[in-house]
Amino acid sequence: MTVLEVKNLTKIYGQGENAVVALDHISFTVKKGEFVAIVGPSGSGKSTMMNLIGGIDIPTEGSVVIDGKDIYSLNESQRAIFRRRNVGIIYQFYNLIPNLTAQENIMLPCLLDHRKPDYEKMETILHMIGLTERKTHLPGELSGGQQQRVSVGRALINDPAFILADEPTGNLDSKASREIMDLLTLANKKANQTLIVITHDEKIALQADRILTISDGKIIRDEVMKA
Amino acid sequence: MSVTAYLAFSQLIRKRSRSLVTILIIALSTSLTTAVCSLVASGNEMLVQTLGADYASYGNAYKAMLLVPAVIFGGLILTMSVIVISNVFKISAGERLSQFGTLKCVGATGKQITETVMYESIFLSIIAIPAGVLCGILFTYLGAAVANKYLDDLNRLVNMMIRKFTMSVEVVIAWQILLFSGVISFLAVLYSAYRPASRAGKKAALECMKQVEMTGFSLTRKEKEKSSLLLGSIEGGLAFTNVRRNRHKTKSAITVLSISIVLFIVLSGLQDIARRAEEYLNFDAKQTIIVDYVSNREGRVNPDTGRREYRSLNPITAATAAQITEKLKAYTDKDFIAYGNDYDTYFAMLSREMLTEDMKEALAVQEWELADWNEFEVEILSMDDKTYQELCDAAGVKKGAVILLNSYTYNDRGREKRIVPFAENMETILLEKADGTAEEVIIEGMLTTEEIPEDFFFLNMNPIRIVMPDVTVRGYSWMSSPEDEEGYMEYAEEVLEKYFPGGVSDEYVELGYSTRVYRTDDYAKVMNIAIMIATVFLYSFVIMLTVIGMMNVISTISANVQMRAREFAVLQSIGMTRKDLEKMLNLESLICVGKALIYGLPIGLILIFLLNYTMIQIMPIGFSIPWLAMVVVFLAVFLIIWGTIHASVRKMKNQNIIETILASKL
Repeated sequence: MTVLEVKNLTKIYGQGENAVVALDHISFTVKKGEFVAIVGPSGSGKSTMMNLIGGIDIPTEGSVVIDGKDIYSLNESQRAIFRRRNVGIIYQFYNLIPNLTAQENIMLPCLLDHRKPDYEKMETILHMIGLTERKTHLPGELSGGQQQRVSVGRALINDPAFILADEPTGNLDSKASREIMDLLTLANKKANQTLIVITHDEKIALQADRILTISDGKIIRDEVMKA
Repeated sequence: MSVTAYLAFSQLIRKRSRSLVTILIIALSTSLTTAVCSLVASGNEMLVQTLGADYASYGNAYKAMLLVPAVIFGGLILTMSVIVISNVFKISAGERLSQFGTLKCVGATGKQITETVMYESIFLSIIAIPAGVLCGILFTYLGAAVANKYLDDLNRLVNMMIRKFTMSVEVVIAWQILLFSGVISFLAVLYSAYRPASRAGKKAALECMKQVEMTGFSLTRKEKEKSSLLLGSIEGGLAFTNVRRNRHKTKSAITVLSISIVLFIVLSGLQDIARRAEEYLNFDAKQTIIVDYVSNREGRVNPDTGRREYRSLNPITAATAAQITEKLKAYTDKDFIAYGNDYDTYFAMLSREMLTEDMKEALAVQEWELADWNEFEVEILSMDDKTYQELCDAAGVKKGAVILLNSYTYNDRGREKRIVPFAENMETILLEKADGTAEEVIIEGMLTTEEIPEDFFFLNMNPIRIVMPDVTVRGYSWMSSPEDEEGYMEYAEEVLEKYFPGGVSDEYVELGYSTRVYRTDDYAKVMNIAIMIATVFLYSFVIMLTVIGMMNVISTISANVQMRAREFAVLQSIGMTRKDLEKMLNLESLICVGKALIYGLPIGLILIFLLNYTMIQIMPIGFSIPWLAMVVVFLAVFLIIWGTIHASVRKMKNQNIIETILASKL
């Protein structure tokens, strides 16, 4: 079952002579439960693609269909609502709200959707990310690895169609990186959670079912690692 | 230029708009200090010219009138300035944290970091303080011009009502005053900058590099146990959490807003008190012109009785009063009423039984300890034939009878109360003098509150008022409503001049009497002008002070919003709609307004209540809550906060979520 369908996705920054093609007519699909790694050198268009898939940037051309819905046929507000229900985003720099505690940050997408918080589920997530004891701590009181674990928890709380992770370990030491990837792969294997990870790290890429290599805004290789 | 000075200078250039706002704040604060000091000096000069070198016999009272407001205003200016300027440097130092971290990493000492922030304050002062002093001089001239405009009217009225009187403000600009204002302002700026500067200097290099904020915060146990995010809607919960947990960032803005609220509430309350006092004191008579005569008196302690006694030097006889009455009535008899009184000569001892229960209560309110026999001052009234006849008719007695006006108006804890003070069976009264002599007077008629014509209520100064025929009294007034007011006033002056030559001149001390012809609403006009002068100056001062405060509110809130750009982008990236974001910000505005009002309103109302309480001890003016001012203050504060937040957010509207997030990788 296809969860994500990217068709002719193009992003051009600037105009005329200053135009820079960040993404050049990219097309691919991702199936439910798949773990896809997107690799490529700096400036190849990985992050641009992630932002377009996540619906937080506007493409110059093309479409992104998530669970059968073209997200760019929606207006900005509808896209925000769609995003909080269907996409879990993890950033390299955690991007937590500094004045909310760990559990409040995790609960946020659920509360933004005007739903009653599912405490049982939150406790499960807190247990899974190993932060039960530190759930009332503010981001400033947590280490980088712990902050990223909160970010993973936040991405999981709404059972999204897929998780988008942009260099989730890029700012972490090797131990913390391993812990984060263990968490993500656990969600992928146990809960059949679709996972799209942008990374520079070859070891991480090799854990994926499939590796998409991007260069100069184009997919130059699409390798299936595990059937 | 040292590197620390250069860095400070480049920060000021880089943050031009904030530097400009800071310069404006310092300049405004300096100008207000200069204006207050110069106006005090000018006021002093005016009083010296009007009253003499040591302000005549009320020297201390006038000195207090000048110095007490100056100290209060000066204190307010300095407090507001220190809060506001300190906050500006706190924001600036917060923004330069990573720069401080880098400097520390390459070997800068804490002292050097402190130095660079202090240099900012010095550079800003070099421009702002001289500009402020110049503006202060301008404000002083402006203030003096406004005061003189009103004083001209005041002089004209006082000249008509009392005698030759000229008061005008001449601006005094002394170099000592300018130097004093400049130094005070500079010290305030240095003091304001020093705290954030020294905190920045003490921060560890790594903390600076990580941009750990100047004022860290942690959650209370209660906040940890119960999430305020679950209060109502998520936008409301987020707004509440943000305001609560960012309280250190909005503290100075909320403080100055609260101070401004207190100032406006107190000012509007004062205006209300003045208005009610004016209404109470207003000579509410239907007559338009008053012609009056008053004899000077001399007082001494009677050597035989030891009592203070007064003697009128040139009392007016009933015959003279009647002659003048006839002459004035020949011009107009419209609403004519003439009366004379004497409240210096007699007193009476009345037994407890002679007092009504209402009078006992009135005396208790005035903290009078009731004895078996109680001493009251007596007011003797004389009046024109026609009016006297009317009173006799009302009392059912023949002309020539003595009539007691048995009505007393007093201040019953802030409310005016009119009562019947004495028992209706009072038949005689013993009028005693300070020299020990006494005469018994038979009270032939008595008029109670309902029976006394309205015209006589304004005379109600003493509990015992006795109308007697053909008595010599200290002063006399003739009131009427002529068609041709100017002509009548001229005529009345001529009449008075015949009987009391030179009475309108300045030689009243030598002559031993004085005469006046004036309009009944002139007193109200004088009070109006006095209130107007005070209102214009107080409002100008409070508005200027509020402008300083609002600059701080606007710069703090917009800086906070800018610093939260990433937070807003993250919220949007995880699914918050623009509408929800705006809703959250609206609610944050309301909560901030609520906080400012929670502190400001009760303090303002308590101060107004205390001021009013002091006033109602003197006159029955009641108390009213300044609802209108409260509504205006609420709307003004809301508009300022809401407007600033939304203007700042609007600036970020076209920012890309991802670019905003990436621009501040914290």
